[in-house]
Amino acid sequence: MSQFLNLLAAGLTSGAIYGIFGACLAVWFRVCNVLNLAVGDFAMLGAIGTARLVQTDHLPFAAGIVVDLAAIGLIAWIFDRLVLHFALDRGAGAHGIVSVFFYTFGLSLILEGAAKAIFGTDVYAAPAIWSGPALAIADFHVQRAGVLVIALAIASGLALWAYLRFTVSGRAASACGESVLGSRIVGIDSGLFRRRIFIVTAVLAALFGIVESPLTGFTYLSGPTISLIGVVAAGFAAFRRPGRAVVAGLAIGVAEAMLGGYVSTTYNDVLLYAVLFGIIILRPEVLGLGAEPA
Amino acid sequence: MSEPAATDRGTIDPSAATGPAGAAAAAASPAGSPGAAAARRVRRHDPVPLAAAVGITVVGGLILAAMNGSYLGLTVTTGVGYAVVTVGMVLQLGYAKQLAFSQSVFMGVGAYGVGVLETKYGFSSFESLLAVIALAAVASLLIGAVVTRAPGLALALATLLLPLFIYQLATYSSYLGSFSGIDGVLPFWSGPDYESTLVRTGLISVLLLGLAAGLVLRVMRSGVGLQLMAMAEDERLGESLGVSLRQRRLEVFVVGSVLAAVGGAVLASAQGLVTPDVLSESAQITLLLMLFVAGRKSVVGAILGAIVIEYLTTSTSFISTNLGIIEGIVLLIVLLVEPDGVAGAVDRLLGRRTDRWAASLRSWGTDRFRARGGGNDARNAA
Amino acid sequence: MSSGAAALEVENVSVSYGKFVAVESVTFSVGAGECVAVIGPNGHGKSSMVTAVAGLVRRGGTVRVFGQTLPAGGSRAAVQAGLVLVPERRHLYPALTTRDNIMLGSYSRTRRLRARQAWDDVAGVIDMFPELARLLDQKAGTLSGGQQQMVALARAMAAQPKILLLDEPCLGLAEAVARRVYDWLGSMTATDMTILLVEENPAHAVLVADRVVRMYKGLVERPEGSAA
Repeated sequence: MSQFLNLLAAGLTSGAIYGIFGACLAVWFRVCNVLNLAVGDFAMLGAIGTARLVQTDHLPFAAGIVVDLAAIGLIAWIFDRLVLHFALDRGAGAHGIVSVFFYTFGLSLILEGAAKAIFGTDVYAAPAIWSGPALAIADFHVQRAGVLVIALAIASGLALWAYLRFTVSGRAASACGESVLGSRIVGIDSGLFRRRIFIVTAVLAALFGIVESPLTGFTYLSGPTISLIGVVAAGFAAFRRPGRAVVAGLAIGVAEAMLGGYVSTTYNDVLLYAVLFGIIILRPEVLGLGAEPA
Repeated sequence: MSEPAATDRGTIDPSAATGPAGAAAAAASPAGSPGAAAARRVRRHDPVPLAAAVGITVVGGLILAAMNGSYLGLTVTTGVGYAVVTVGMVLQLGYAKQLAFSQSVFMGVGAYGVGVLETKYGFSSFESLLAVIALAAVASLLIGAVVTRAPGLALALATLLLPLFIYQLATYSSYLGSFSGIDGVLPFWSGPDYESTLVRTGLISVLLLGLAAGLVLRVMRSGVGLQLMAMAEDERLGESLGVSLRQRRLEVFVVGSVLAAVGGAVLASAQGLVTPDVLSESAQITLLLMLFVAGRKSVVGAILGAIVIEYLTTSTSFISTNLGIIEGIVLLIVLLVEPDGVAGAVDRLLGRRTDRWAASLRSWGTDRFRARGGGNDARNAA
Repeated sequence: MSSGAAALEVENVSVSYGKFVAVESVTFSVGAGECVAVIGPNGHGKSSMVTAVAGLVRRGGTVRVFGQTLPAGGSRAAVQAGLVLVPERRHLYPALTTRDNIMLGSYSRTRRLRARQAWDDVAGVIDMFPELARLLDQKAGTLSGGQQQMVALARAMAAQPKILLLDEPCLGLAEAVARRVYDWLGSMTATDMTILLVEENPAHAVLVADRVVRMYKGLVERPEGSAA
């Protein structure tokens, strides 16, 4: 029983990050029909950047976090103005399903390359925000950072859901993704929404990286795999619903942990990806995609 | 090159994509109609695919012979291996817009296939090549039958996951040599020493590339190619024209995958070994870059792109250390400025030039014709 | 009915898509409270012209709303000045409910509010289209063409326009539904709303218009008067 609970805790912890990435991806896709494949790299830069600022440059922890998040926000803003604005607002460049993936894919390559050049290939971990030994209730152990991550994931998922559901601004954001012309005729600036939500989700991902890194450590290459699972989690939320994406992410994390604990520790990821692959191919309706192409 | 007549003004409705779809509708008639039959008659005598196949083989062969088994020759041969894959991707991603990211996996099937068959079962390189083609065809048929049923975004997502777990499978498998892979893959054609072996293997590789290019060009320039374009533009339009979507999607998937496997076999044969890197996400990324930068609708572009990028990534240390950033920046520039890649840019430049040449040729031709007393004015005057 | 002062002045407006000139040069004005119909064959620039006036495509020339010049790009200024477009083919938000579609018409006024407050602000619009009352929670993409047109009109009215631009409001609609739209338009002309209507079918146009303007090959032909 205790093994099950501990696996559950570990699974929820890693699932939280898939979930929040999924939520970030789902919200942004809902607004502009582009998948942010660089979301994991923002998390990576959050973690490594803060670790560097605090441990090497000896900034106070809070200042390090603020500086790091501000830098991430700036990077996101620059990318939107330099690339996405021309591609999507001005209509230059490649269109259609290509733009769904490849612009942010290019960004991802640049961020990873820059991280490698600046930070090298070492493993980094930002200091823990809530330090101390693992919490224990009877035989059930959970890391403090894990508790933080799970709580943050649920809180962010709720916040994003509430924004979309209850505010005019949130409805307008959804409208941007539904019809660009339709939103412009009522005065909604779809480029502005896209940019703002891109920055918010980038900073959110970075924050998660900071909170999570004491548990696992990040290298410059840590981004892509988590991004990919985040995309899958967003997929299970039909690329629209942040709440569902968080739940999907948590479920994937738990599945990963359970497979590792009960089936095989070496092959658990292989099995997980194979299962996800199978679900997407055989039941694309789960992604909210029917026979009609998305 | 004539400008639209000054009175030809009207409205373009930005919400209706009538341009390319309209052209495709006009050109792709349902099979069996007189239009299709006429199209077939015209296409049968199209010399381009065969000329391209022969040209590539001859030119490539000469170049490799000149390199005489040097390190450069090895790099180019490796590039040729990637080129076989990218040529297939021109059809799959460029033309049919089938967003499947499974080429590196099938490249691995080809590479590991020849490796395993030759080192563990004593196949000759020719036998293993044939076996790998058959294996890839069957595998892609089975996988494709399921996979191509999924709509575009699902297919893209699922195939993004493929390299992840296939790579892990390969690295965990001692049968496949784990991280060190398989050594001792046979060259396609052995010679008395290392250099001549490399040249000869290169010649076979270039021949395979020529065949691949010829095949893809043949498909692209046929009625099937038009159907693929219609399908890529708008699936409902394609269906309404009688295009069998499922069949075409499957065919494209199989061709792309088999060519990827052949490319993998070339890689393994040229380098003499197979490592799990050939199956990795980064291999897939490199392939995508080769395709997009060079021009995803251009066969020649794909070939040159593969070879040039392979050369660049292995030659200067600056590029190979900063590969990621350079790849990312180049990709973004290509996407923003010229989505059809370098080949597209060249086409546009050449297009304008050839228009002017054609115009001046025409006027030169008519001047000379009239000077010799031809033309209506002369006859009327007489 | 017309009351003299110009509500909308369009001066030398031109629209090009790349090398292609859709609208060469258009000059006309619409008086306050007037209803002007722009007719002409398809493909001669009517839609491009009215879309450009609403600030949705790049244009040359000048547009003035109640004497105030609108900036050349961007639709936000136009909406805030009271100029609202009902576009050809409607462009609703298919995955959002009818209620949300209509509510978003008031975006420029209510964007900092909560959705429920914004809806209370515009709920009166439903009185103009009672048939939408039972469709409020349905997703707009599932409505029929006629119902969608009503929603598009309601959305425009939620923006509290002073000048209403309509681009082919009856495109693809059955005759009975088109008549319903024109009945509503007719009731609008009785108010002091200024209306510019693009309409391919002249028979429809003369039902409500005070004046008819004809566009041919990107140019306005000499304006013809016609009895309302």
